[in-house]
Amino acid sequence: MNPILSLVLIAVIPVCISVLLHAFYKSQRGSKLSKKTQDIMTGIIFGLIAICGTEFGVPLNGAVMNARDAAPLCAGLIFSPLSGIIAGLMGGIERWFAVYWGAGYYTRLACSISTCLTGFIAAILKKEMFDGEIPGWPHAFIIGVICETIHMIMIFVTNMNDVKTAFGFVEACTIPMVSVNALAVGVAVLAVSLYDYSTNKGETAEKPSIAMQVQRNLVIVIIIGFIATASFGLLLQNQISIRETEDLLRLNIEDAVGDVNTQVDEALLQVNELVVEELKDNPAYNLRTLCGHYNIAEIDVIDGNGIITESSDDLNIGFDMNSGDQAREFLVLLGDTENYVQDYGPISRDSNVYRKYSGVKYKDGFVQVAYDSKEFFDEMAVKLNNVATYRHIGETGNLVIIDDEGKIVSYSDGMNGTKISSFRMSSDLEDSKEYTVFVANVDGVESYCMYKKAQGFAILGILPCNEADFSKKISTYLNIFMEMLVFGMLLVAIYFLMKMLVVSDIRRVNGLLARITGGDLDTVVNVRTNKEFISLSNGINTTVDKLKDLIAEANERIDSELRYAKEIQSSALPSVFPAFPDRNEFDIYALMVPAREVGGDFYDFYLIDKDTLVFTVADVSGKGIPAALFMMRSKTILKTYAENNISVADIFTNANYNLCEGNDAGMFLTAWMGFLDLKTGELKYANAGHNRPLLRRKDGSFEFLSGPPGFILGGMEGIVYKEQSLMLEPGDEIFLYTDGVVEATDANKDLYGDDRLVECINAHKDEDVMQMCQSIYDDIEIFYNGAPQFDDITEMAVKFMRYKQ
Amino acid sequence: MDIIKTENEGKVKVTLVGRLDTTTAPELETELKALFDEGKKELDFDFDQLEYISSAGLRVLLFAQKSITPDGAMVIRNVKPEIMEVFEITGFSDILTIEQ
Repeated sequence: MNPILSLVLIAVIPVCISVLLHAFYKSQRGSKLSKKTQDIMTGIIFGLIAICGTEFGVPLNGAVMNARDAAPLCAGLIFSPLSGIIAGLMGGIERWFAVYWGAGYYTRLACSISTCLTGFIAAILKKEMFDGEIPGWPHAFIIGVICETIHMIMIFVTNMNDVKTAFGFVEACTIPMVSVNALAVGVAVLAVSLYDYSTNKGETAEKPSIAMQVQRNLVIVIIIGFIATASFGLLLQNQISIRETEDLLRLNIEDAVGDVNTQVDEALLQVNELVVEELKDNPAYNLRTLCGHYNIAEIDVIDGNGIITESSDDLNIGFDMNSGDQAREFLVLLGDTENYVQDYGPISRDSNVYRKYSGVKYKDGFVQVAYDSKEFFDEMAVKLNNVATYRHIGETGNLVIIDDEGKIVSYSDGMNGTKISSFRMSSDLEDSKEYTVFVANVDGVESYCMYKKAQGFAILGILPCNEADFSKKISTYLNIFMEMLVFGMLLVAIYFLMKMLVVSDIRRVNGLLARITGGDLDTVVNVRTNKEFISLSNGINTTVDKLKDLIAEANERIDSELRYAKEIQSSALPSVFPAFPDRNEFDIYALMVPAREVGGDFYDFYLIDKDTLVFTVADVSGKGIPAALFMMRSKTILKTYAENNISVADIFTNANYNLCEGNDAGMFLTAWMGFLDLKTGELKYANAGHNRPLLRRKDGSFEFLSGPPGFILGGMEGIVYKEQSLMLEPGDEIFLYTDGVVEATDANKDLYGDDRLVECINAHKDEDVMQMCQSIYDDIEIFYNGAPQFDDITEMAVKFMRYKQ
Repeated sequence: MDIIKTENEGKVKVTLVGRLDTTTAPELETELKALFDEGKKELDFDFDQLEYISSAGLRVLLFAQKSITPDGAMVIRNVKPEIMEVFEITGFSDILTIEQ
């Protein structure tokens, strides 16, 4: 099977298992398992997946690829820290022992450590960075990349003494393993999120935290930075590497060239000296014979004037050495120089003829000998046979010397030397310039090559690309790995820094703000970790101070308004006692204590004529300003009707009609109103939903005055009220009150109640009206004992003393 | 105070638990207004767990009674004696439909 395809198939396993397990834990049966059971179960399942990853590795480029690390990452990032650690340890430890049944020994330590480490990394990130939530898939992918990078670095770190082999593994593994593992984790997280999304439609995801947002934006910046630095590094490494290769080849070639020159020069000079010896012994030696003897192309004898006097070639005789550039060089021999050798090249007389000349002093001139190409190469091939043999370039590079026909003259002992055509680079040689690097395939190995011509030979340096590029590749890989590691750590560090520097302070400010909005305006925000928070704290404090001032100002205004309202309201109630000092037929006293500044209770009494005392106690629904306003209105209406000399029932009926009109607020009042005829003692009264008064006959006890009450006033139009009456004898007494009395509440929410009232009033029945009202009020106060009261308290006592004469 | 509303065939049962006083009455008023705005016509109050009613509470009941249209109905059930006493004193017992 295609190895890439098998690798992908192996990577699909953690993805599928992630989704299935996640769905299972969300299901009814799965959610019944305890969190711990779930975590351990997940850890073991993913540990087994990690082991499968090891056991079913895919051989590729000479190393075994696996998707082992994806398992602890999925377990840790998707499920729980504990699961990640368990899966990582299982996978890592199994990898250690897996060498006994076939897993690679070379990366044993690196693989074991990095798998364990991956589990821990996933666990820590899950707990500390994602607060137990499932990260986004880009996060998961990046974590996957970084964990695999650590894996690759571990291969180097654990094989420091054998970087070449380690690099072989890393080069083979990096791309497939990093991409497969990172993709597996990323896709698994994405799949789980999509599952959650499809099952929880309508539930919008929570907004990411500020630290997470900063981190996300940082990822983009970092990826750009990463690509920029990585490509710059690659470019730089490439340049350095090319320069180094060039220098290495050039230096080696130059050495060889020097060697070739020396050997060739020496060979020719030796022949030249032999020829001179022969001529010295026998000046008449036939030069052509001598050429054949020494297998050379030409012998010339030059006199002290630089003119060829004798030559193996008759055409040369009489040639002036001064007439050609190539020939002129030899004129140094007319001076002090003993011998001179010239490089192989075209001769002065005919630029198509290539020869190598040397000259040795003879008589007052010199003798010049020359090889032509054929003789020269035959001779030199033997001489140069060993020049390249023990020369190498770098570790695996070679040196080759080739003659002008492309035949290899000498080669490094590491090579098979045949004809240059077998290197398939004769054309490259012809196309390239000297000392220029070109790439060619030598014996099936891509190599950098460079040549230099010397004495008609080409000296060729060959350096396999693999060796030349090794340092470039290794530093590029290491650079990229280290950058990834640094960027990964940077991302994590930024997240925690943001959390530390910003988020915790924001939380503190929020906490203090919550106290302020909760009503504690004296809270001071004092987060002074940096300039921004000092300014924020100061801003909030100033705002709160300003608010406090405004509230105090508003309160002041309301207070003063309420004080006025209270004065108006209390001055509307008759409050001077004794109220009628010149009347001795009756005694009356009343008190009203509002629960707030102004209240809805009121009482009233007046003589509408000299024989009739009218007294009223009423209670408006609600409290405060609205009740006070309605109370003033009600009081006026009742008094107005009372002065019209109509029956008390008609007063209520009319007042009700009047109060219902334009009563949008739906306010109403309960009222009791009595007309006491001072001459007869007849008390005519009507009750509009008010508490029953207490009546005491002379020498008797207070008892509730029975009789059906009418409906409240202002509640509903068209109510007709009934008048009732009773006869009072001198000494009889009537006590009126509002529900603030019987509904006074103590701390236990117990009500003062009718019974307590009757008991109390009878205990004080012999006191005068004022004293009695006060005593009852004192008793109520003792009862509620400081517990807050929500209702106004009103009492009124009327005692009939004597008939009016 | 807790206000528990259950609806059955257009008839809304309102169970009041606790004290209906100045502080809690506005809450009930808001709830009832919402019911009337929804077009509910029949209200069935359960006062079994109502401990106390103040004049503010009476006001809300009066508002409810007045909001009931001729084709609707409002009934109060399970009124405790102390609450009944308030209804009787204030004359509310005459205008409310109270079923024991």
